[in-house]
Amino acid sequence: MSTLLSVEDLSIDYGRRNPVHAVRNVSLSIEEDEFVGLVGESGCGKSTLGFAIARLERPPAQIVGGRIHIGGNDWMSMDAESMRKARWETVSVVLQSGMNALNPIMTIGAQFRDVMEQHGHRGRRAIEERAVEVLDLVQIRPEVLRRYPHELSGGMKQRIAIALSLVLRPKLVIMDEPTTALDMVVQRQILENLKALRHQQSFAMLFISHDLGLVLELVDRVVVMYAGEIIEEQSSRGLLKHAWHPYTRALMDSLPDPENPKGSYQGIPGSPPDLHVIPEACMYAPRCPLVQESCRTSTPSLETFQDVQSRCPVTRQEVVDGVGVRS
Amino acid sequence: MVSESVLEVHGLTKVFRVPRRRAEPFVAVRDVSFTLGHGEVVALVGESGSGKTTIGRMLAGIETPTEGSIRLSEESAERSGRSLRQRVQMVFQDPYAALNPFNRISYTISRPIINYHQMNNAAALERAREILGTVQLIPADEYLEKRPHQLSGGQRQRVVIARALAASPEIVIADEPVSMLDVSIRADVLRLLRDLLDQKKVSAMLYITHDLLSARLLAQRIMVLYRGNVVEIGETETLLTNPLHPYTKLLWSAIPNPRRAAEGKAMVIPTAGTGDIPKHGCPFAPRCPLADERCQVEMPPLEERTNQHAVACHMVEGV
Repeated sequence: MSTLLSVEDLSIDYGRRNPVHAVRNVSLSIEEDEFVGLVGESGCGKSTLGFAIARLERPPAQIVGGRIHIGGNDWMSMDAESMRKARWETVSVVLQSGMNALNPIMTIGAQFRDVMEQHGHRGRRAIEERAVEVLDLVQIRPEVLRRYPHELSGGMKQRIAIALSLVLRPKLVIMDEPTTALDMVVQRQILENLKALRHQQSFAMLFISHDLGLVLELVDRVVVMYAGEIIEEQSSRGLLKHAWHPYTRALMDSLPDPENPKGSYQGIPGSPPDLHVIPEACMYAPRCPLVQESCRTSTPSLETFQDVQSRCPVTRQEVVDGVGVRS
Repeated sequence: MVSESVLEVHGLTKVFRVPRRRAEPFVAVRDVSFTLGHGEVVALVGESGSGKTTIGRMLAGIETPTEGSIRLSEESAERSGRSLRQRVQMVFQDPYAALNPFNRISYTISRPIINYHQMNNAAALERAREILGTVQLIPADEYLEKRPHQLSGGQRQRVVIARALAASPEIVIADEPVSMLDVSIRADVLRLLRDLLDQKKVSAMLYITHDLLSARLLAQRIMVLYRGNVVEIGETETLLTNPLHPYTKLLWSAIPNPRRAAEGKAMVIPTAGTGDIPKHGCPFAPRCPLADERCQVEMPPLEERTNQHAVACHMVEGV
């Protein structure tokens, strides 16, 4: 496999005067056909990062440093026309309210035609055939091509948005909380659709969500963000066995375990820090149960150890000492 | 089982008629009966459009039932809208939409106190401080001065809960109170709701959700609703360890479970039909893997199978 997306040292601010440093020095890569999850609480910068990768950031957000390459192309220096072409063809995005992203006065079929014709596809029949093909991937019947969005349920619209994102066979699909507005059974249906999809069409995915349980079911690798930085990154399999960073552990504990009703189930006390001024300290220190004096005086770096990237020296030392050995 | 009931609902039905259209009237809730015991939380579980919010809104006096009765202990609430509204308060799903962005928290919380308890402003503010303490927004004075945009989602939802408590209700209807919140703060809000019962701040609660797991954390009994019909009701652990109705089983299996998923089994989820439910048959029949001809033509009655565990399904064997 080769690297599809590479983000290096990316930083994003909101505003120019007294800016909020929403994303700081994030490096992230996604291999071809790989599914990567990006998790964290509201305000941690995960959607800001996702938007920037698709170059959909809009003022007051602005990229203040770093590089983005997709398929070897420099994504930062691309002109508007090449960017317009690359969206949908190379990178597509499904939004949380993707169901409301559909145009209410166009039939579903017209929206597929719109996207495909904008990208140089011609021939009504060929376009319809491709639309039917991707709709089939998300188990939607071709009849909906003649329907308007208001005639469809939220779950159907979201699945149509997913189908639309795949229609030009992009290499990377960014999904930002695609199931958050939907109920459990519909969420499950979409999750099963996405799992099956990767066997039918080749693409990589960045799946952004605050729900670690959902993410772990779907993706190969999880990136955890806190207060604008990556604090842990490892395989889903590894994370299920052992979360390294105390914040990731707290996220795991905030998930109710369907198999253990009496398991630890607790929220994360405190709230994320203000991102106007970045202290010389671990950003999680004020909320961390394992905090030590050094955490409050120096910024821990993201280090790789045993295939896990983590920003916590305290829990890394645990592993070295054999206290928190991975089971 | 809780002996004394705070609320009795009998034969509750709501039909929405679409004016100036040939469309058939839409039955949102059909013949729903249940009780809320003293100190009890009952969870009302179902998917979007199952009628669970409509039931909550009827109990809170926001919608008028087409048929059926809602009785609060002692008196019939049907007589006076105002007293029903005081005795039954709602906590809404979206804490971003449920608070007026122009009002300070002090106004939002003291207004129901002044309305329902005829207190003067100073006394109402004192009471508001107390209530903010109950929902753990401390120090209260700091929060009283704030406006909603200065609060996080979890804090806003605590304000919405505080506003409901301000009327000193006997019953709180919590309509998806955590579904808009981050997973990481849901546990604390659910625990707060649980504490309201334990500390006897309210007598009973109806918890409306689409998530069986959160229902398990909060409720003693679970009632499963499908297209306006109660399809299963029972004590929480009994119902979850031995779900009888195929729809309850589907809801349970839909919950994200990364450990089970790691085993790599794919699931088949029957799609929701486009709206044609059999007129006289079981509403779940079009999606049901077990349905036979009888299910298409005959509505299964809600029948008790074991102690306090009732299900409406032809295909479940009697016990």
